[in-house]
Amino acid sequence: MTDDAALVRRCLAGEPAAARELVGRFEADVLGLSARLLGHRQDAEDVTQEVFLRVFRSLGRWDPARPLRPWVLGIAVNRCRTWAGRRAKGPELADYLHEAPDPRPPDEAGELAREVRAAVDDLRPDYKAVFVLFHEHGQSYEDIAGAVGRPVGTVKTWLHRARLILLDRLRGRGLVVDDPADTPAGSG
Amino acid sequence: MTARPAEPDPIPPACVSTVARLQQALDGDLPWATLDADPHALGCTDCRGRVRAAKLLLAVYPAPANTVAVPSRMAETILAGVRADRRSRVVRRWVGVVGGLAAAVALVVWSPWQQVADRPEVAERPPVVEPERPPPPVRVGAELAKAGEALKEGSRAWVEPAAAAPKLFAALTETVAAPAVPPPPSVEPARQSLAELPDAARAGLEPVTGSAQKAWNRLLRDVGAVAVKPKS
Repeated sequence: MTDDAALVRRCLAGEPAAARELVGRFEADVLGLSARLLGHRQDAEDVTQEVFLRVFRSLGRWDPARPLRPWVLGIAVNRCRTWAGRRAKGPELADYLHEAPDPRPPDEAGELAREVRAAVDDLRPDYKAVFVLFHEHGQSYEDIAGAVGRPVGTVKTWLHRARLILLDRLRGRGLVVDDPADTPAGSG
Repeated sequence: MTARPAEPDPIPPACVSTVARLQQALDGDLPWATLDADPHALGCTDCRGRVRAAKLLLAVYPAPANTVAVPSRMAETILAGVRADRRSRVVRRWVGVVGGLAAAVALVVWSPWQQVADRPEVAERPPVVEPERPPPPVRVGAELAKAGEALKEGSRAWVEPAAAAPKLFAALTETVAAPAVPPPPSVEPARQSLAELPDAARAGLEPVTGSAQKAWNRLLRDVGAVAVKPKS
């Protein structure tokens, strides 16, 4: 029996320590993903609360043959989608209420990171979800497919399109300097 | 603010293979050195720009890192919410069970009354439509007999009053019968007085003769000659 399955079995048996362990294991992921998908910290905390309510309600329907993490993140993606749709129908808050101040110093790297994040925020919701899950949460294609409920091929297509949109935007914003001497920032 | 691009621009066919390798590098499945040595990327301005932009992207996302700070009391808040949700679900479940039982009991108590009230009645038979029979054949003799009977019955209404009329006239005749004795000579003065009238006055009057008396007597004679036919 996997570690996830044992944890879930203890939670279903009503052990408070197991419930606390499950929340502690995934709360950072769920909160981080919700904050990135919603772009609003308070909303992200509310959604995180809802996500764990739903996780504990439907824990008995979880398939032990599958990993627990994508399942939990999938619930988070769905709740964020629902929340964003509900928010879109409601009155719009002022922009300054949406954005929390960035504690990082305004250096060049921070500027670039903000630009990239702003470009990610402008992506289509499904493209954004797969991009954030892949590049910010390190999820595999298979896990992302399980989380968003789409085939792996669809997830790959969405991620590739999201990347091309981002690359075009970075080039269009003049952030790419034509310097033949530049070297790769990361190597595979 | 620029419009959000929903889809990327289409990739020219010459750039497709380089873009595919770029995606592999972003996936971490291909070393960047391979992409740097790509002959198309070296000659294509767009692909060279894409490769540099991809390196910038990886500079921002060097490794998956969740940098969000989790509030210290968040786990407690979540667990408290989960416990409250579990309690409310238990209460709802019990309310549902008790409500269902109450409804079942009410149904059991109520159903005998309902059975008596709503005893099914025998369904009415649909009216039987009998086929039209053909009219009976016309028999001339029977029809004539029926016509005769109808005539006899119908003529009774006017035959009986006509038969009663002579009796009435007979009664009248007895009442105003002419006297058996000759008329008294009292009429003479009337004749005399008429004779004494001047010619002008006499010319304007109908000559008084016995015509009225004759007509009256003739009527009485004729009426008396009618014999009352006895009823058949």
